[in-house]
Amino acid sequence: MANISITRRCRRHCSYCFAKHELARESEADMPPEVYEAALGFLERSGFPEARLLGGEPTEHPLFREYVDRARERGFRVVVFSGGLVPQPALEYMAALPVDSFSVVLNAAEPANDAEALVNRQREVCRALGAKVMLGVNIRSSDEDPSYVLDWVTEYDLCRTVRVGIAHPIWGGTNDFFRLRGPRVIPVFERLVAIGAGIGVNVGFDCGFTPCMFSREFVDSHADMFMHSVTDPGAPTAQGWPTKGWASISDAGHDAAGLRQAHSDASVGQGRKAPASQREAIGVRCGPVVDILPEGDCIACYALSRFRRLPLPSEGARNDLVSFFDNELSPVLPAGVHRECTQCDYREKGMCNGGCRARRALRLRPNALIPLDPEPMGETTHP
Amino acid sequence: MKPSCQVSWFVETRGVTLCSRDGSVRHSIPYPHAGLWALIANGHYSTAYASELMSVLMSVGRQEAEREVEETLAAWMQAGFLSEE
Repeated sequence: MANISITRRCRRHCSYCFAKHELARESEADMPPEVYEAALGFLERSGFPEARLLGGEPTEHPLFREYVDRARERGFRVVVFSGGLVPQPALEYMAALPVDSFSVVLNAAEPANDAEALVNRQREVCRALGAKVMLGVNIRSSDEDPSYVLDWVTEYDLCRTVRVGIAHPIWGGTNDFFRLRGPRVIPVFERLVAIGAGIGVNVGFDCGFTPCMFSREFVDSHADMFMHSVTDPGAPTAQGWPTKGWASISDAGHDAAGLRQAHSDASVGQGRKAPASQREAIGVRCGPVVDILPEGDCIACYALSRFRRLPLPSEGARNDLVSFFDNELSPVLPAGVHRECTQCDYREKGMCNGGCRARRALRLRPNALIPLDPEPMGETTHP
Repeated sequence: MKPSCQVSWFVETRGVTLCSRDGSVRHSIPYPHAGLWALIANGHYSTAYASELMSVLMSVGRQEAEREVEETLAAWMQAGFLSEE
């Protein structure tokens, strides 16, 4: 997959926002039409049936409706990633779109902590869009109980899959992220799966999860979530440690880049055939996504937005950019997010590629990656 | 003596891994030598302290520890992992 960030505008100011640095950057606020057309061309060349529109808040782009129309005209199924503060005209427009070619991933507010106005607006969005909405939730600590999202699925008859993300650090940034304390089980994740299963709601996990966040019993009883369905030629292997002195070691295939699940089975666009769907194991979901920014630059992902960026190519496809980012990052990163990762049997079995690369980069001493812009992080400057 | 500016490192369970900034070279330093690296990387190196530490970690006499430190540092210097102040 690849995402198109069509605007830097956002009014939510989430503390954990992994786009925080990008939103604050002094650059184009809104993606201009010529860049958007080029981005759609890039998706076409990459063989993607979906146009995934991000922000900021994508519905705040002045040409939001035109951009969705244009993507659908070109045969894409459109997925909009929204924080829920959707302008009313955009909401009415989205309500009229067919569910088979349009959906919204709604980053759920937390009723107990977020502003009532935001929560109420999200309820309105859910009421208006119904099954077109897939709820998503980003978890910042093991104390959170995000099970409220499951109630909303039933209450508003939403898509019966909920997307769970873990708040990742922006490498070189200042966002509020989930602090991992070694390879430990984080019970909230499997609890959510269990509650969801009880009411017929599937829980899908986003990038950067590792099997060690789940109990052995859970991993063993959910093999479909943790094992590849295809052979992974780049599966990592345990590194051998010499017993004395020091010696060269290889950094065998950190990332199963070729395994990224481009699309869900339900996301085939009009007239465009999806690449063969591969069920990607939870532990190997970190790799360059490729996010296209409003000015047309491409980054590996938002968590690594302060590292390298490339101009949107007029030729070639996503795999070319993925190769570039992989080649830049893999040789210099630790094998995993924890110091124990080199000895982990999940890694040895190819069930885990070490977790979020931005987290892995945080382990480097001193920081070996060179930030693009050394200026201190600011707050969001775009309205 | 300090780590070369061309080198970064990270701590693993069994030692420290060094990595050239361009990613072309990667080396592991297992314990107890990783302890010596940590001394240098943290700016706490002195010959006396390093020898004492290695003597304890390796369970060897002081002279042998001094020799080990000397040889190890020479090798790291030659490999470009370390540079003079």
